[in-house]
Amino acid sequence: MDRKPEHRALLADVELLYTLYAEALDDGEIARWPSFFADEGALYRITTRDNLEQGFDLCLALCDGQAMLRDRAIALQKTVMYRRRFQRRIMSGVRLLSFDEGKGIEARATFVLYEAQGDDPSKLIACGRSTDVIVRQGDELKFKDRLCVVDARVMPDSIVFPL
Amino acid sequence: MQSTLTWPLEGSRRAPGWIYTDPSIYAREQERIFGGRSWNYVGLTAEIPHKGDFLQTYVGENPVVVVRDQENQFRVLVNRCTHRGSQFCIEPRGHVEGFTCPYHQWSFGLDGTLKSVPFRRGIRGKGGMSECFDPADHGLESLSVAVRHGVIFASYAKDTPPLEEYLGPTILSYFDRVCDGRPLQVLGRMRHRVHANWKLQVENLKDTTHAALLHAFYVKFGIWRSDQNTEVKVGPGGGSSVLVSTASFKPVVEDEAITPDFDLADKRLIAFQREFEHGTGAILTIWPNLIILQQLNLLAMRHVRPDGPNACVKTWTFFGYQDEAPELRQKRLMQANLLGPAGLVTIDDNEVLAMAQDGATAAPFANTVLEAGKGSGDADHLMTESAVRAFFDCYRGVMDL
Repeated sequence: MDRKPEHRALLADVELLYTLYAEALDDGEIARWPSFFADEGALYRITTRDNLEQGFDLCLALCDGQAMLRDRAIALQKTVMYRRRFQRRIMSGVRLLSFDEGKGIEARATFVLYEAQGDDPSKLIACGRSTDVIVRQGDELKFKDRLCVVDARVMPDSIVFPL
Repeated sequence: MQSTLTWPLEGSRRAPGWIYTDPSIYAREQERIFGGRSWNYVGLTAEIPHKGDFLQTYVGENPVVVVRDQENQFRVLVNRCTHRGSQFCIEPRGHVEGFTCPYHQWSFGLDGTLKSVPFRRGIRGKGGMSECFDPADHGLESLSVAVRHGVIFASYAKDTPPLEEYLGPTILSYFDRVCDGRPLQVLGRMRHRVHANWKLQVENLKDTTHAALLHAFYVKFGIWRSDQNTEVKVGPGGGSSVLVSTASFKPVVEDEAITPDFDLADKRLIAFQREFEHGTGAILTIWPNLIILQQLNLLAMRHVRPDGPNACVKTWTFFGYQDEAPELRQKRLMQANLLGPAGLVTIDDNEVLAMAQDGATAAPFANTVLEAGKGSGDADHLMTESAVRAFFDCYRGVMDL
């Protein structure tokens, strides 16, 4: 890890992006989800270690661009049927792999998603790591490429909302 | 409260809740259905392309290893060492010369024969296996195998009818529509637990009416609507069936709208390229627990593994054809957004199936009602539950219920 002060400041900014992203989704504000991604060329993917190890391109979710991110967000609000659930995302172990804001900051993080539904306590839905490319757009950091890789082969239930 | 497990007098127009919850029924299913005269999907030949390649899967709830042996024959071996019963294969897939159980190093050939046993003659003349121990008696349990156009099936029974006869000409023609002999290529897998009995999951793909009512995404974008051309075809004995549909892709009109209006900003999500002669989708269910999905450009083997009475694990193996156009491949990968654990359509099913299971658990002696349409045969419309009734005709026969 680079210890230069400017890199530490950047890390703090990136950590704040993850925190705000998780907070918005945990608060159920799915409509705001696309706003965490870059206006141009955004990519969001969920896959599994199993698929990745075998070189499979298939994703559990794939949004190529803002329009597709918004379509998924709207579909989740208007066409998909699910029982109400309460989610909690824990994102930790954020590490920057590259610091070039021009090309995009490469970051790695661990994520965990718990979900409470009905009378049951929160259960683990997904656990894994993300590899992200983050860019500065105006004053804010945005995800340009967010790749979430789930550890489990078998998902314990639906992954209704984004990781 | 009623306590005997007797099928309702209405026959297959009713299904009792206890078939989804009762442990003794579940155990009987393992023995008679998955352990009996059925062809169980175990994988694609494209998943094990070389001699010595193997993959792990399940027949019913029993773990098996599917292997391509030295003669290019496909073997389905029960993943249980014949010595102390441990699972000898611990990798989900791979390439081997043979199998060696880690516990006491019993070694088996790719065909399941027992090749060697450590300390067979003991040490320094003392101990070892008894005189009457014959390795030929202790090969791995091996299932009957049927392969058609790159799809591998296994059966515990030795007298299961040939696959082609088992499916019958109509179902076979829809099987061949997708698996026509062109080499298949796996694009990836999705796996998720569904909190419902395996039969509820299979019945869901025989239930023609729910798609146009539950799946607002399909309705909204004209992929599956109640007014489109749909056919139901049922195979011999009723266990297998196919639903063929033709999407209109017409946007929903105002008075039919069940959701506030919105249109896809990026049509690539459902951009469809015609691949098959008629219909835009053919959803095939093969007794007992395989769904061959062809919907838009999505092709997937959906294997429903029973996991106790109250859950099943669904494995979706998405595939295309070798050497297909990159544009078509891209459509398959994009449309996969609709399906699986994060699928904009599948999430609906995962929810209602769990709710149906909760209903059965709460009221095992209440019956579900299957009164749409008549009989258990083919239909040229989707306002019928004939394929579900046909499934129960088959189920009751095998289960003696």
